[in-house]
Amino acid sequence: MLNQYVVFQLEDELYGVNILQVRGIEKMLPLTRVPNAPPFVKGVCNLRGSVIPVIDLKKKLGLPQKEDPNAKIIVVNVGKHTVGMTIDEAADVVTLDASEVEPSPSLVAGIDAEYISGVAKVYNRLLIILDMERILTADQINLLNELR
Amino acid sequence: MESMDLKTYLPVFIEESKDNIQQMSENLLRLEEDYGDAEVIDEIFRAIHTIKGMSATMGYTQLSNLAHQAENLLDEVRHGRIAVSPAMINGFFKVIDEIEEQLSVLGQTGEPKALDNRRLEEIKAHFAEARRADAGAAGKYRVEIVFSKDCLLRPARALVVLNQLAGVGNILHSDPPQDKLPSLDNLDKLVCHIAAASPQQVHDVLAGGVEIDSYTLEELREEAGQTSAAKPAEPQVNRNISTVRVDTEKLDHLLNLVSELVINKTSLQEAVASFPSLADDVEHLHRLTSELQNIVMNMRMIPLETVFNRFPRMIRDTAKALNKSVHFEIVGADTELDRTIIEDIADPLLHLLRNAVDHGIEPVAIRTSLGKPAAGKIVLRAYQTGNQVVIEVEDDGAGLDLDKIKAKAREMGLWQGQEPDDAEAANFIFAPGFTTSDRVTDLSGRGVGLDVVKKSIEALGGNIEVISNKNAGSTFRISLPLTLAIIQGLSVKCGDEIYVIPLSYIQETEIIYPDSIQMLGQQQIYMLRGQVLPVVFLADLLGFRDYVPPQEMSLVVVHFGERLIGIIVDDLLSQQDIVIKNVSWGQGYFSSFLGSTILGNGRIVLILDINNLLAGVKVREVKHA
Repeated sequence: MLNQYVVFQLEDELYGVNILQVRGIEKMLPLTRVPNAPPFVKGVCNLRGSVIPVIDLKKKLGLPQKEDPNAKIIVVNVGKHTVGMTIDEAADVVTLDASEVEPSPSLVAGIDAEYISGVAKVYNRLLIILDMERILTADQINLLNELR
Repeated sequence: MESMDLKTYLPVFIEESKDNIQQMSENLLRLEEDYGDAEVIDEIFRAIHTIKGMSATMGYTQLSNLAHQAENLLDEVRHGRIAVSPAMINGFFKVIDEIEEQLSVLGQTGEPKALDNRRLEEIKAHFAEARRADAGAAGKYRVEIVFSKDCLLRPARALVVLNQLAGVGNILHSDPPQDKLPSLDNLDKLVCHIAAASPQQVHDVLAGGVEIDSYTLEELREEAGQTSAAKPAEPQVNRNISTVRVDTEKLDHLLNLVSELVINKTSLQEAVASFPSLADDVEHLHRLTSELQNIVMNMRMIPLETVFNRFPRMIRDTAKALNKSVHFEIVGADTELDRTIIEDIADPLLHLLRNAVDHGIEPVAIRTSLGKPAAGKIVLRAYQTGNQVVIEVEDDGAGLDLDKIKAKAREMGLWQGQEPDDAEAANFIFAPGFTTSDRVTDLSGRGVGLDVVKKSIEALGGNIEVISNKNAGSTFRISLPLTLAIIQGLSVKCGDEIYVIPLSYIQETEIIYPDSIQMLGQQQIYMLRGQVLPVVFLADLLGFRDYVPPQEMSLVVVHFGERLIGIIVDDLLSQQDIVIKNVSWGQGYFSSFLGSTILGNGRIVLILDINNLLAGVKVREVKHA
């Protein structure tokens, strides 16, 4: 089975997101910051009339921070939700057979394995495929538990 | 038709059946007021017949059979073979309960469930009893009774006779009225209208009556408007308006698009200054979008009827369970409210109405000893004033025991020093955990208090107050915004950011200077017309770092529960209609905000959730010096 992935760069690593979850890639939009929200919520932006939250993906994944002037926003759809995430540079779309994707080792590039759905090799480099659903829901579930 | 195809009709079947049983329920209540109303019987017949036909088409045989049995019984009534009886009405209500349950299961699982056997037995028993009712045709009769000359307490005697008559039929009307009788000194004759299964039963009562000199009995021909009793909400007169059912999600989407258009139009209006030749076109666009917006907002509005309709039955059952007599009246059921609000208003209203029956209306014995009509009266009233809809639950019962409330409130530390006035004291009942009741009845007092009612109303952007007079009754008044999609807001500046405060929270605003803020213990305060007002900086509430307040600031005095609190901002910007936009994900992270809105320039501004923001801080109770 073939799957397509949008490949982008965060710092020095390549990351992929299933293309079915990607609504588009936008240049940086003006953000309104959200007080009292966790640090990885960068703010909200106006995406053609919808208010969508923008998540600082590096912060969310616990990666070191460098401000990139070419930062872009990848807009993903997970279930009914639309969320923007900051990325450094969008590179490409790759097609991978399911057999090329391997289950992730427990820790890749310092990222918690629960956010990773697998790894593959493209351009002789490691591609880390992110599980967007987990990235969005894990935290919401924690939050709900805290509220209780 | 293939059974596969039928699945697509399931939502329509459920919706229409719900409408039908709702109508049936209303009509049954009407029938209970007047056993002889042939038109109402026909309406019920039509509704149950439709349910029977539709469920048979859908292949729900059990449901169809149940409806069939009910239809048969009613048919016998229509042919005058049996009379309407309490057993019949109770049986029909059980049938409605069963159908409702079936529909809800169908809605959830798409499959019918087996009928509830216990309820079926009850229905059978009720129906069997109904069939035993006198076969004489039910009719309305006018009875005129003259009491014998030597009868001493004629008004009292008349009451006794009325009670006996009530045993064989339904008293529709009496002259003098039943509740006036105890206060009369004398009485010549008593005239009453009764709906009874047969004239013979009435004859039996009157012929054996003590101290009755003579009486006449004649059958009343159909006359409209005979009953003075309260009726459930009138159905719309004009039933043949053609309508289309639309998925509510589509409506929401439409509203979103229109809000978009409004925002776009606003930015066009701002830009047009540089293109004077376009001014007319933009003005035209402005008119069109405003009209479009009005229409879309209107489409989201539905009449309160849809919620109110379920209450007459509930009041009837509650009153019966408590052995109380209650006349329930609905006024203004056609008042419209935003769909999203309507959905959330039912539970609070249910709570208030139950309370009114349980705690408000006194037992009959107490009422008569106070010279009140034996039957209590509860009015559910809705009306629109300006941008708000008011819903009142009014009873003519005991009213609140203010002395007890004041004592309890003091115990709970809700007031100290100067005694609160009555209006203020009455509203203590909304405080969390407040109860003066030592008993727990089956219906209320189970811990879900008025504070929950208040919270849910406030969550809808509304508020609630109570007005109470001892022995004259209480009125709970709920004010709600017409719609949740658009609110009135005041935009304020704080640091480099702009926020909106919903106008409904705001009491007043004032310009203040840093040196007029004083410290009282740990609490910042401001003296507002000689009163101590606790104040907080919005920047502190929002966790701004490195915030430097300007030399001239603005104070926004907001309601926080029962108290007033001042929120200090840099500046007030403007007051405007705000289209609320929900954030597409992660509401949990936005607990300080009700939502957001997009300004004409495309900039997103967050709307402050005053209750949540202030709940997070410890604003110390400031004691009056």
